[in-house]
Amino acid sequence: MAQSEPSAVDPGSREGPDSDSDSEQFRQFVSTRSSALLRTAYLLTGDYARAEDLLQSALIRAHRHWRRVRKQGEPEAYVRKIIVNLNTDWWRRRSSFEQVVDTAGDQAPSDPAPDAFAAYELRDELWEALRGLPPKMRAALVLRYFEDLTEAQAAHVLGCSVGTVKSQCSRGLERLRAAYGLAPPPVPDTSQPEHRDSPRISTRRSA
Amino acid sequence: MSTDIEEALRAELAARAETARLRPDFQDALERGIGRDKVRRRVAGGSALALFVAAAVAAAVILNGGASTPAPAHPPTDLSRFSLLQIPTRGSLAHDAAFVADAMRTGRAALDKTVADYEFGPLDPSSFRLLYAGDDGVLRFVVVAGIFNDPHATPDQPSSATSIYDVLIGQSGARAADLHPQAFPGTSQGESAFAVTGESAGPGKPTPLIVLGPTQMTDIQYSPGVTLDKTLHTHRTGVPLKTVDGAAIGEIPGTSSVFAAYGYSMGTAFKATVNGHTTYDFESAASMPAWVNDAISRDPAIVAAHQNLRNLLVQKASGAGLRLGPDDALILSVQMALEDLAIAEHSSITDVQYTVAWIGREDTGLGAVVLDVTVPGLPALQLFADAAAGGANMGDTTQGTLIRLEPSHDAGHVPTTRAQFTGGVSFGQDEGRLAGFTW
Repeated sequence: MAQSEPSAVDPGSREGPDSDSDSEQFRQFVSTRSSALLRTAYLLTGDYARAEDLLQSALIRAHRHWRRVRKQGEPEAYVRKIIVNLNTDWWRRRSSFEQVVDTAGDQAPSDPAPDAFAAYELRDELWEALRGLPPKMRAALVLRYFEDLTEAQAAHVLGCSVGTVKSQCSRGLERLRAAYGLAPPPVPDTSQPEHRDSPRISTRRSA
Repeated sequence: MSTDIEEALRAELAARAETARLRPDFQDALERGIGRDKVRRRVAGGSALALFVAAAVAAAVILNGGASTPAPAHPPTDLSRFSLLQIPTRGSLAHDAAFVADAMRTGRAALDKTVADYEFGPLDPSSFRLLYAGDDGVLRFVVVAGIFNDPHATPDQPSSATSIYDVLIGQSGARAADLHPQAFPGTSQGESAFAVTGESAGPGKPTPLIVLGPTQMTDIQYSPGVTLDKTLHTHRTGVPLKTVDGAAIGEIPGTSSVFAAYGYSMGTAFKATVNGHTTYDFESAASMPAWVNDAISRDPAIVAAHQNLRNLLVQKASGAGLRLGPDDALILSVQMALEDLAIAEHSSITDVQYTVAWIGREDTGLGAVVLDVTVPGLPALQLFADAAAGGANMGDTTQGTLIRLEPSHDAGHVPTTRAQFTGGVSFGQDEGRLAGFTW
């Protein structure tokens, strides 16, 4: 497209794969990294189908800009950022159009033995609490505690300040802690020797 | 210091993540999605070119003092004196100070996010404009725009766009904060006129649309797609929109046909009059409703129809010595041609019947196929498609699909090249937006 022509919608069309080499590299990226990216998408959405939709949309966008994305050297980070942003957008759209009447989502394909029910029930509470968090807060937790990104890296992905990541994680953990039945973390008291008991996972919140 | 909740969260996230598995056909679905995306952007790009010409013609007319002078053969290169960004806010809410203030805040945030998501580079703050704020009693529309600096532009690869706009739509009476941006923001090199087809909320629900042009623009109409008559002539029928100050908002009525809805995001075109001249197709952006995408990619009948087509073409090609891959452009080209035919008749690809009359490779190296096709509502027809196929290292090369009334196989001779397909006419939903197509 000549410079003087307008480009509707996609300014990056000139940056998509335009050679067999580019296309092959894109295919290879999809082949090797899709599973990992899907896991992130699933943790953000709590829904297998929605996660795959997110991943597909993100990869299509990455494909449009593939040459540039590849040149920048971090295609996985780029796609992950799109996934996070698209998920937030989706929530925003859904909140405009739909009333959420069922947040049950997908169940993990596991079949626990009876003596493991208690542990699984506990885990389900944590998972449901996580799914109930606002999307950006959940994303902050997933990026920090699953992707193991630093606060600065998470801030970059989320497009916010490091302080916002800190506060989102702190509030998110607070909510999870309440759902999980844990007492708030003790405030460090530097005037006393540290010998108090740590809160235990087994101290569930009573119904 | 790591707390127990942090450790529990790490363990839970790791365990849950392990349960996520890609569907076996994910790669295929992705390739199809990329194929659709390419075509969609190609269509949008072509439309934007028409838009550019239309806007340039409009600009020339305006600059001539509104006289009904003939349109110039070539558009002027300087559009700086015609710009949507220089027109005061339009729409029924343009003088509602409180709403305008909210719309400015919401719109600015949306535009900043779009710019960030698409990596356009920061907006020039002084360029930000509220172009439209209106409510027709059914829906509420806000349009914002601004100019950005493309940080990736280089002398070798200059930016292909300098301005960007976002369209936010919601229910009538909604607060600005409750309007939602359409998934498909637009960009342009000049700040010219545009139309946006928004997202339908679901089957049977209407699709919103908005058109913004120069204030002299009148009689704005839309056509939701190209249709075919019994002689396979393509045409469009315009539906008028109430036009005020060169702007119009409205809705395309809902349809239960997923393919018709799909067509709205692919084939809707617009026309209008500017100082006595009719300008065709300044459509520039359309949003693919998520439910349409879901239906097309997940509906078992549609998925099976696509799979059957692929299997048949691969099998027939193999018999003819052509090794077709599932990602070859030829397969996608045929699939989309059949979908476009179905859209024209408000039908579905699941209702289209076809047989392969011939398949092989042309002298050009492209794969080619001739199909005998039956679409409910249309006479029997024949379709010719040629595109990259069989590892010919021709990328995504594809040519326009031809159709014709089915002859008696040319006295036993099936055409095997584009030239031999006599009497064929180009057909595709995007055909109806090419220059010269009047309706």
